[in-house]
Amino acid sequence: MIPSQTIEGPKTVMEKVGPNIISHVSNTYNHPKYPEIIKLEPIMGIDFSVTKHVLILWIVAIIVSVSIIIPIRKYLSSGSLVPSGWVNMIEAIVKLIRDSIAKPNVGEKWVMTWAPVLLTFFFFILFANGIGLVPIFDVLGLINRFLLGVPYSDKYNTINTILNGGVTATANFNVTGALATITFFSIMIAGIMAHGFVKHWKNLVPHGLAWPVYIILIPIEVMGLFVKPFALTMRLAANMTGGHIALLALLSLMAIFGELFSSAAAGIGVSLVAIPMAAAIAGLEVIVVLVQAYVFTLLTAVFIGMAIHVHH
Amino acid sequence: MSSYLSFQKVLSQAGPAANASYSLIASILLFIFSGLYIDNHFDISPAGVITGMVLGLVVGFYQMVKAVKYKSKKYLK
Repeated sequence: MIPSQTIEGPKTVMEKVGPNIISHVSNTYNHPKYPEIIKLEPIMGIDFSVTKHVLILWIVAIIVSVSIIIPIRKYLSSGSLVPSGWVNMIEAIVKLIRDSIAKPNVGEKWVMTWAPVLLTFFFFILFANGIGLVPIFDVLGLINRFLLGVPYSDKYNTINTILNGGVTATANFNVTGALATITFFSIMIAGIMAHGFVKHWKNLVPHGLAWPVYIILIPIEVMGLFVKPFALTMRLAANMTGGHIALLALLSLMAIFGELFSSAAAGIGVSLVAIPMAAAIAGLEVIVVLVQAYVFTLLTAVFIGMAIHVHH
Repeated sequence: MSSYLSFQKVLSQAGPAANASYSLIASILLFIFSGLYIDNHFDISPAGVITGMVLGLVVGFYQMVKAVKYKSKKYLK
């Protein structure tokens, strides 16, 4: 997403609220006021510039490596049979995903093949969703402004360049689209591994029907192939964007009412309702973070399972 | 332990149900947006959106029925 162009010249709070909310959930890309963190020249038509969401994805990758991959590797190399502490908790999550999501959907035979993919999805999406609730950049901005005394207008300051844009990378349709593309190819690979290349494609449609039915059925099935990744893309990105917009809209009410009645008291009065509601939505967002990671993993398992166990 | 097992059962049965509902809505949205894009690109409004909506409903309901049938066969076994 690109921050709204209308942010250039708004005068009133009412005019500022919309563009500000959009800029808080957007990526920093191709915008004069919110430039990329590192601007690079396109290579073979592909723009490799580092935007806010690219930076967040790198941070998420580091967090997943440090908190999941490294402790598990250490535990495996220790030769211990009983995990303890943090690894114990990871084991509980791994067992839940394997036994409640992977096994019932992909089946006993394929569970060890597909459980790693599903677990990678779960942990990556969980951390990418969760990082959106942690105000790292807001705290950095406060330190920069009030402790280091750097004005916001200083466009060459490193911290100022990373303050713009949203923190939730999974609210970006490109990110969820990339994750759904992995699911799309996983479905294909699962079907081909289970049935062979030719039979996998034959399994798309029911067998033994009159040939005119196939004229309608084959295009419907081919179009249906793209519906699954599209559902994953839209659902995750829309859910993550929606919660943040609701939160920001509620907090904006204080400024809107303050301006509407030309009184700080009106803004403070509204804050007595807006802040508890925003806190409640933030609490709900914690659940959303978990549920969305879980639903993406679950749907991926179902789609892979449908390619393996074909029922018509 | 029994509550954990029933929780696991609910989790494992939720997948196909979620698949059925998401297939329908995603299909309608995908084809309507594609229709809108075609309308704007070829200036044939509203033919693209209408065709997209019809196609989306057909593909969506087909996918939903398929998901429900898959679920029933799986759990009736």
